[in-house]
Amino acid sequence: MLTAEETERLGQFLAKALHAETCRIINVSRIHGGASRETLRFDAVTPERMLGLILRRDPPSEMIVTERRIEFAALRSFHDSCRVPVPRPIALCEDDSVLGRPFMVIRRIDNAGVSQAFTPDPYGEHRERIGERFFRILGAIHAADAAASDLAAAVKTPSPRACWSRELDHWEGVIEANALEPQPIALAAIRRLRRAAPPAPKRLAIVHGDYRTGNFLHDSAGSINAILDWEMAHIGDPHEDLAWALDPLWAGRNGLAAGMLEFDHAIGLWSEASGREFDREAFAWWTLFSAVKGVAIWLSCARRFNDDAGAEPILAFSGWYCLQRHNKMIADRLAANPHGSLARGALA
Amino acid sequence: MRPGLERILVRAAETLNAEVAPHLEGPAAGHASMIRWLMTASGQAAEREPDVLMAEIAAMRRLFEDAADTTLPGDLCEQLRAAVEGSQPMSYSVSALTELCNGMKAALIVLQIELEDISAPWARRLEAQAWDILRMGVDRRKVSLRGL
Repeated sequence: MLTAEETERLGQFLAKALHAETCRIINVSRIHGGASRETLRFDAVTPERMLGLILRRDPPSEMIVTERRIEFAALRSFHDSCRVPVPRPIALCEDDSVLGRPFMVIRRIDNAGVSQAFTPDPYGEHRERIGERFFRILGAIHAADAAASDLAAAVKTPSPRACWSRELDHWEGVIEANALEPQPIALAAIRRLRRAAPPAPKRLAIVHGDYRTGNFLHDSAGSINAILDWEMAHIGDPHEDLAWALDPLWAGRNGLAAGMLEFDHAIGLWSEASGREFDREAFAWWTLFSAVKGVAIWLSCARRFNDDAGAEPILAFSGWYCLQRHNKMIADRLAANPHGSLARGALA
Repeated sequence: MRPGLERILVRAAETLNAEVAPHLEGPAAGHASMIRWLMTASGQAAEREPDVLMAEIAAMRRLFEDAADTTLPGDLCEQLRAAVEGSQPMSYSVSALTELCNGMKAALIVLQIELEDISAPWARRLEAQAWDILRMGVDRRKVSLRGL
């Protein structure tokens, strides 16, 4: 939560950002549930209006190193889009001067909620409608002009032939930095991925980086109100997002794509909305990559739980259950097909 | 005789779920749900982890013995023989067995890297054996979402 001094400084900071004479911060409360950033909800009162806002602040020791300006730039890339709903970005502070750590402020979307990824049948009777919207929005993200986006100004754009190696290098580094014990399964997968580079995308795309069930707001009536958690956004191969969204970890118990649609239907909607062809070979590579990326994320959760006496139980859960699931996916796949084409036996 | 660790943790998780969690709201209820799963999974792990670790160590010992008799580069064969010689547990505590197993897994990674570059049938057979060990470890430690 915020101290009285921090609340005061935040009010002054937001007054400037909102072009208001004064800004008073009230009704501050913490939103729990995420494993990464500290998230607070509050109201900002200026002489003219009252705004419902969300503040996202880096934790003292961050699990996955990200830059605030990247998430902010990703939101700015879509905040005027009618095809990709996102919370409106309000202000970004990249230094420690206001709240001791970098943070950003976005508009709050009321009357909408997030369904946790492992809740059985989280969308009930609206499952198919939300699923269709989910894959259409993903397609719309990938249809956007990446080079002209705000995100392009905040991140380095790789060449189409290098986007896979940049991502693999990054997540291999996260595994090296966080593993508490040897990781023969993930390391074998990394070597396999390096031996079988995927085809380069015809056109680079904005990649959300964590597009999955549990990372969007919906109204419990079949509509998606906002796509959240853009902190891992970058420019790269759109199959990366598609593979992550379709990862079996997010499928729940019904085995459907993201737990919501038949695979072919999901991919068809994405293809139609993105204007891109589904590349089976690229997708096969990125599905194995997704499992490696998952291992990296879950290992960083386990590390943080291990090192931080105040860590939340969800970190232990992620570093145990989720890690086990991705290790099993990799081991089953590579044991059955240690040297053949990655497309053999892949999803879809 | 005290109740078994698995029994203690599972029963405590059931009590947490039935008698404590209903009185909680918001994030505390979410934490209780996660803790319930962690206690149940910890109970299962407390019961089976030494057995799984011993099985992994024994299987890697057999693999290393087989691999050390092949035409792998000489220093790797020496490393594998050394790993086999040091594979007798000095203690059966989970931490000691885990440390021993992790040392062998580090050697397994080196072996896998060598085998992947050799297309001879004996190398493919050893590689498959390595994957069997890794899959066995994952499968025998499987925990489910039941109880969450």
